Amino acid sequence: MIVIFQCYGGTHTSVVAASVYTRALPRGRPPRVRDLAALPYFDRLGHGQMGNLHFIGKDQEGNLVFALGSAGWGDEIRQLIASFLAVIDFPQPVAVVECLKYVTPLTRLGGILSRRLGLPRFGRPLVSLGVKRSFPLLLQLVETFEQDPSFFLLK
Amino acid sequence: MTSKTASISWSNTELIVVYYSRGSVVPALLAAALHRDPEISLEQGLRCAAVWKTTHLPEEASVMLKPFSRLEGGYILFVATANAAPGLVERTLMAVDHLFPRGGTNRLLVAPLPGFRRPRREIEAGTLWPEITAVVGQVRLQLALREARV
Repeated sequence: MIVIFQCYGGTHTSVVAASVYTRALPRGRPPRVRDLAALPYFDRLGHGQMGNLHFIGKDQEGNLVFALGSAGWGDEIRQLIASFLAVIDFPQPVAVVECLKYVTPLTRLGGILSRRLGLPRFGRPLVSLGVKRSFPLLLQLVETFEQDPSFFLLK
Repeated sequence: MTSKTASISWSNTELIVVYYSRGSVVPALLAAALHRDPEISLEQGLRCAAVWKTTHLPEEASVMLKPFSRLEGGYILFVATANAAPGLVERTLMAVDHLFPRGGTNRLLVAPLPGFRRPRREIEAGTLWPEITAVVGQVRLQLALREARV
């Protein structure tokens, strides 16, 4: 199985959820700012990188895990991916875990400051705070996925 | 709505060309029709698009990716539409293609078409024919370059 965590820019919420899933981030407490800053791709990708799949790591079964930014078109992009996978007769299942609804206003504001306006010094602390606040929900999402991945499979 | 794409099966030696248009499938259908038959006029293209829609899209679909035609030379034309930005769709499909075992099929070409800022009825009346002609010409050139490389 290939696992894709999807959000708006593919650089904040999806990266954090994917890192929780791959256990690159601890689950027992919200991540610290330095934990987040150490994640590859966290708050580092711009608008032009949306649509690219960024490799985050492997899960415990060895499945490849990616982060993907789809702007506000996550649902449409999932449908197009599903159709395309059917076309090329893709040999393994692909699961997409949508994280957009867990993006907090703080994360959004921080993301705009950091990625769109090029002010990471101001934006990154806000993003980190926003991610910390949404961490329990992201953890719940990851655990829901772990319990029943079939619900997230593209068909 | 998720489209089904089963009417043309793909063999992994064939190149996939996806014409993508935002907001309406008609520009993609015109491009695919022009690609299949370079001599086609706009009126013929519009008739072809109407027939294809009646046959393959009984319901209006805001999101779909479907086969249009298999061509000589080892490639298949697909048409796709959604409201997502063309660049985003192109990058996503190319990225997914690279997930294919052995580093991707390397047989995908996504051709986004312009025109999403105009009223839908204008787009569907073929006002973008010059732009569509240019995109198809560019795709043909890219295909010729690929063949020359092989």
